[in-house]
Amino acid sequence: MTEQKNLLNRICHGLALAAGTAVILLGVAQIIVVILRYIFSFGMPWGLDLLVYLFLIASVLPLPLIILENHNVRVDIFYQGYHNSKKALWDRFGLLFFLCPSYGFAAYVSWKPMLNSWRLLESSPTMDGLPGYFLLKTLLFLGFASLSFISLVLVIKKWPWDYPEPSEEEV
Amino acid sequence: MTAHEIMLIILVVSLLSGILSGLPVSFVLMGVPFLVAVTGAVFDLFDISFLAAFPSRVFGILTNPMIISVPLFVLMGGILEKSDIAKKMMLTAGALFGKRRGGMAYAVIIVGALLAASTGVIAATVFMMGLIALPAMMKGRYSNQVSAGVICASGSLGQIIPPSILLILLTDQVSTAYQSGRRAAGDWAADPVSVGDLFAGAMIPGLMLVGLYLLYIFIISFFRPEACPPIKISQIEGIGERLTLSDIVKALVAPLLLIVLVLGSILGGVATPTESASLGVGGALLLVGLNRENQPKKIRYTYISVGIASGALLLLRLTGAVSFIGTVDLKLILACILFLVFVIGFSVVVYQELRYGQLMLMAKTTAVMVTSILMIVLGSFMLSLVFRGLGGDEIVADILNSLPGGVPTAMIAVMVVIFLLGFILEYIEIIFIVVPIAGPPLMAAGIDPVWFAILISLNLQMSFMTPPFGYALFYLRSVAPPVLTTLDIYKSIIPFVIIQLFTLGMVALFPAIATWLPGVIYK
Repeated sequence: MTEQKNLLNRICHGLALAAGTAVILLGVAQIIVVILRYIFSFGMPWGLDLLVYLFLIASVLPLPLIILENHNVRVDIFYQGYHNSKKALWDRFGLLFFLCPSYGFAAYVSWKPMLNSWRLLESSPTMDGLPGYFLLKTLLFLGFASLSFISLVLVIKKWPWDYPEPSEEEV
Repeated sequence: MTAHEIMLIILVVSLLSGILSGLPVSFVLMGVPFLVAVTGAVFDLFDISFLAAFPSRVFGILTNPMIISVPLFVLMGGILEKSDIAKKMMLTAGALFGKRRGGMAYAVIIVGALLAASTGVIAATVFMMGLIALPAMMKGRYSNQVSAGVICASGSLGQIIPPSILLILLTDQVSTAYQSGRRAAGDWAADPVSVGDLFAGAMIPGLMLVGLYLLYIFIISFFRPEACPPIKISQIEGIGERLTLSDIVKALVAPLLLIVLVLGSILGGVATPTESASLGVGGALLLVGLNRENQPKKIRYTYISVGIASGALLLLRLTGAVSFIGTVDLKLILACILFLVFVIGFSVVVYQELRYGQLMLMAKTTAVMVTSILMIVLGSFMLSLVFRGLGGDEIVADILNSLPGGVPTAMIAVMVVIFLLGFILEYIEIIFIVVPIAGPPLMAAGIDPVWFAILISLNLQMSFMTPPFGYALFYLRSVAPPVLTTLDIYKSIIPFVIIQLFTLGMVALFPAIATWLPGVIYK
């Protein structure tokens, strides 16, 4: 069990690290593009595409980590008063009935557009843009599917997330 | 009441209770509407094929070039925040102004404005000021009702002073609402709203707030001098005995240059927000590297040469365009050499920051943060699809149109709803839920999109610092010593909330405060 968790953990962190790399590349690429455009009046039609691709990669890859490590914003006016077992039960409910089916559905409705995109080997709609648009659509599909999958994994686990024990002073 | 209306009521009630129950907001926004849609489909009240548009809408926002600036501004803010630049700024400004009456409070306001224009991270700004300026003010016998309020208010300036993430996300939503609203009114040629429009629109109201905060402190220092006495440099922990010119340049002038570069290039119409954001990231990396202690000389010179090369390139461009087309002249050769120096030097900078700085960590944090925004955006897309599928948008439009008093009442109603939602939700949820629903009917009635957006951001900022649920107050509470009671914090913020309300009212009465500057720059 622990080993499985470690593997999943490692994959999710690896994806987030790749996303971080994409953010850095995004910044560097944009600096080069803006210098070439502004100083040398030299523009590349695929320059903007490259930025869009990097942005999409950077924002989709961390999706699994966010769910796995509970980086979600919540309104904890009542929640913080719950016992840990109640928190876990409630979170399990949310994962099973809210997150899993809705993202499962999102993956389901993105499946066909993705296949169509593969059939055409769709490239970016920009003139002279980058190829490989179908890969981005695939990435988005995988993002949805992974959210649905990981929420199931968390439901099955003994504790969906780590719940810190209340400290002595609070008790 | 029709079956659709009952479904809508179920939707709204379960959304609110779901969010208050403490489940992650993104789960509730995504899951509750979906379940309501499925239930509706079972009873033949909802056409589930409506939701097939979900992936293409998500794909649309992820490939929208406007949004790309978000991670870059977040990264720029993160780099500056992780370094000690904010702290040094506060210490230096404190030492510089603290000696006069009300001086430390002026310093807090000015640093708040500078950080809002560079890092824009509200929580971090309030934390930093609570840890550095607050103890100095308490030691200097400032009244608690001045110190706490000025920190919360100045720390929240990041919402309104560009470049603010709120304004970028708001642009996308307001622009969409504006175009669909104008189409409904029969106007098919409405211009899109740009990030630059909102940045320019927020400039004057933002500076107005800063000016009014300063004025308030000035009045206090005049009538109640004992509330904000001068303080000695030695009462500010962490600063040496004397302030040298190089301290001031490093801590205040250099960040100011960076801000001028980023904002100037956007407002001057020279660069898109994404382009300026990347320059901001580059500048922040240089600044942080140069501020690092014990940097080897060779590396330090590389950093400086990157700065000089980019400055020289800029100067060269100002003398006229450089082009690869046509004859090869001295100017082109010079530009190419400078560009080469820049590229090599900047590679060294990035390598250094990856190796010795925290660039990789910051980039990963940035990606995770952008993705958590994305999760909320996904949820609000699902919500607005279901809401629309049940005919909710028409009901809201009918309600807004039938209010006695017409458009002004409708505007006030929307603003009150946003203000109240600001107590439980963060701005991202509010923008992505309220604007698509309430925006189009208001725009159809002829409301100016920039004006609408600036009113929303002023309103949200006010909600951010209004007791008892203002986030900025929570942030200060978590770092302030127990001597400063929560009641003190609540009391101290009241004058600033009034200033905020006054500014909101002024912009509401005189839309030109928000719409004049974008009109001058972009028309």
